[in-house]
Amino acid sequence: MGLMRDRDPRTNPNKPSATDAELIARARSGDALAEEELVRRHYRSVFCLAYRLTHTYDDAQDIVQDAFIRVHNALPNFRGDSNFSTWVFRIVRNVFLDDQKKRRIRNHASLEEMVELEDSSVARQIEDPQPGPEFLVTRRAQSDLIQQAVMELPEASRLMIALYHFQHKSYEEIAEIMELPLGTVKSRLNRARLALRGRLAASRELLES
Amino acid sequence: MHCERAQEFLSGYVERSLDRPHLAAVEAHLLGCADCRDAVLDLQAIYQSFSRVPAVEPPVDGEWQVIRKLREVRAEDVVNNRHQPALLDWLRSLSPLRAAVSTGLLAMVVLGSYVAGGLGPHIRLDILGISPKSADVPVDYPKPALYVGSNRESNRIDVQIRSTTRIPKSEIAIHWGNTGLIAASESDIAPSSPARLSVPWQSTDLMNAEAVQIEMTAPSLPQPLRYQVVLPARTPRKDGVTVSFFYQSPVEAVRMLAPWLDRPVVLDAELEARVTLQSQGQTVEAALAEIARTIPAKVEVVDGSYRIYR
Repeated sequence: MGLMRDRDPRTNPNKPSATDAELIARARSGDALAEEELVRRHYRSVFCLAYRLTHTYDDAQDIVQDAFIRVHNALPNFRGDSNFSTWVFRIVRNVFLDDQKKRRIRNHASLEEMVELEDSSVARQIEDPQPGPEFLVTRRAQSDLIQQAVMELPEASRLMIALYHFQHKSYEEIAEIMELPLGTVKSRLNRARLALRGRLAASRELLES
Repeated sequence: MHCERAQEFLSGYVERSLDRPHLAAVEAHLLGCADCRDAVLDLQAIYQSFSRVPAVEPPVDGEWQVIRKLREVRAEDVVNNRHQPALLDWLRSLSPLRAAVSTGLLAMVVLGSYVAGGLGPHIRLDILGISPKSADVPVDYPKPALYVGSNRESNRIDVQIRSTTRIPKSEIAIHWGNTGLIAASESDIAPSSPARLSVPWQSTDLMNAEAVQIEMTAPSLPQPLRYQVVLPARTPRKDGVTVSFFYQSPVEAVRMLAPWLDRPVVLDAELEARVTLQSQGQTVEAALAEIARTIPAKVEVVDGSYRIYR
């Protein structure tokens, strides 16, 4: 009888004996186990980044899934110029930005759409995505404050803030992931932090407590 | 240095990463600019705030969902001829004679399993999604043999999968409906080492199921294998049955136990209301005693399970 094991991947860890580069080489030659080991190895960090960008579990999981499918499709073309982690994060960036673009297009289209009622038509009402006053009053914890402020940043800034402050990536790594010059990354991150400061001005006491 | 220029370097100042000339210029500006000094304090607070944000815990089955999706994508790749699966490669590499012998052996294994397992006449295998569409013995498709039997003595559904080739990391899952996962296991299948999965008939997940789906996935399989097993109609029993008691509510218990008694127990509104009412604040034992009076039935405790019968 085969060795029966718990299916929970967390209780069924694969031995991290092979390097990412070795696993990539095996995966490129069609070794599905090697590809799945890469997923197991990097799932957590990829999910955490996706969650910081979306702040919902479902959306984060969707991004992770799409990202790993893109990894699967792109593996034959992966040249190994950067390490796997950087490459995956770059793919997450693309998935996230594509997704946000689609959402913007949908929202834009729906604003112009007329809703047919029984005897008339009215412009579609779109809920304001900005947090309302009740939300602002009730969010107390510092972490909630900072995370909400990050969510209000433009996508590219949010991405860089998440990479630096949550994923603890260096400026050099972020430059590679974002495919931007190092100086641009530093100045944009500085501007993003100052933007956060502006958004958090009303909560300065709580933040500094 | 004016404020706008100084602010370009405030992150670097907070991180202490400025070179000497810039550091000196920023410090000189800060000495005379209260607004920028405030900005530095705010930035320091923001840096610290990030470190206090709790870590994210990914969903328990998130990793598995991704792997499962990847396997589906690989299966589609096979359909689209993007990759050649190892199993099909192996089969195609066989000479016609060896392929015939292998198929014959596979058939013998399957038939042997059926005979040895004592498959009841009321269990039928429907093979979904792959050819042949329906058959009792899946021998004419190059895939692992599946044996599903009901062991009348232990009242379990036993799934056994044999293969003439090694299939590492085979995931076998029994589902009820589209989402109800009843049991799952992972194993490395080898010719001398079939995978087995066993579920009690009395499992609460199975009590209301007319059929269950058995799915097997593995990295080396070209596509998931899916089987539907129609469960036999439950016959009235007079000898009682040992059940694991999962519910605290007597109403739920009655629902669960009703099929196992010698005639259907109709839960009319009055009975349900009465049992529910009387169960409030009761222990499981007291609730069971109430069930015994209501149905009526005898209740025994056997090795931590409750044996209930008329």
